[in-house]
Amino acid sequence: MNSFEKIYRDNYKSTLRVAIKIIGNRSIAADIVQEVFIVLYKKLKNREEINNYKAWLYRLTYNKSVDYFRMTKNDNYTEYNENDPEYTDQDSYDTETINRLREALTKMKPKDKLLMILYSEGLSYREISEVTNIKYNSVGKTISRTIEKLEQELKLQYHDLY
Amino acid sequence: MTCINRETIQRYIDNEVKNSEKYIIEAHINICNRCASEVKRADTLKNSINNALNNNLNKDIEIPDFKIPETEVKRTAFILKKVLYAAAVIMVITSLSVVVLVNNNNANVVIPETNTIQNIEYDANKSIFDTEITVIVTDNEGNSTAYSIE
Repeated sequence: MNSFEKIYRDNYKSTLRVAIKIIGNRSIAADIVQEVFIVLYKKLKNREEINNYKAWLYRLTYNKSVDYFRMTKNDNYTEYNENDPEYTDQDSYDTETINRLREALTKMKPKDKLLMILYSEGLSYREISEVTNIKYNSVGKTISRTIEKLEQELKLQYHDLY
Repeated sequence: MTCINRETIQRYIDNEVKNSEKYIIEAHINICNRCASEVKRADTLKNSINNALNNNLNKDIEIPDFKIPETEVKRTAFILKKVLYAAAVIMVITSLSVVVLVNNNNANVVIPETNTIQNIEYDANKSIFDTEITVIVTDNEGNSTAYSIE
């Protein structure tokens, strides 16, 4: 199982980051990531073939997170809590914009939000295509449209505020 | 060149355009203020999204030791137990077979040989009907007994 150990060490942090971004709670995200790696462990033990570990781990993390939300009957998906130390800003970046963006992200459809999360992880269009099954040639267009939706949501929030 | 569409701007700021396309875009941005500000706006938004999602996330992330699931441990123990039982059964069967074989071999050895006819003395000049034949039989213990055959 040496290869499993290597995959685990190489991918744990990024998988946990994605899970936290989806769930919004580190402890629950860690449990989900643990489950994901258990599935991987069993698959490798049974000599099942996985072509792209990173894409596979992100996909399963997303599916398990959606299962978690269904189980807890929480349709809001990520609830970014401003007081959560996970999301407390320590730098002087435009805090208001960031908070409004987080709020807008919570209102997105899960698949749109996953796209934004993968995008924020710095994945290439090729990698995003492998995780989401969006055609490689359409990734740019899909990201552009998703960001446009996000902007629309920000505008709505702005109108609500002012 | 006509203005750059949103998708192309997106691909440009994400470094997902070919070099040839990149040169055309940059040449256009240099002469079109509208597209230049669109690129700047898209880039700022990208950074804001990254900041909104990534802030502080890398803090204190440590890789815990992976715990092999309990069911897997139990399953392994169960399989190991089975293998041990199988090995024990095979050993018993093998031992029994060896004992039977040895006993069979010993049985062959133990069976006493029938007494052997050691010597037959007869006179070749006489007719067979007139010849008195003496047979000397030696048993396993070396005792010889002479028998006369008329």
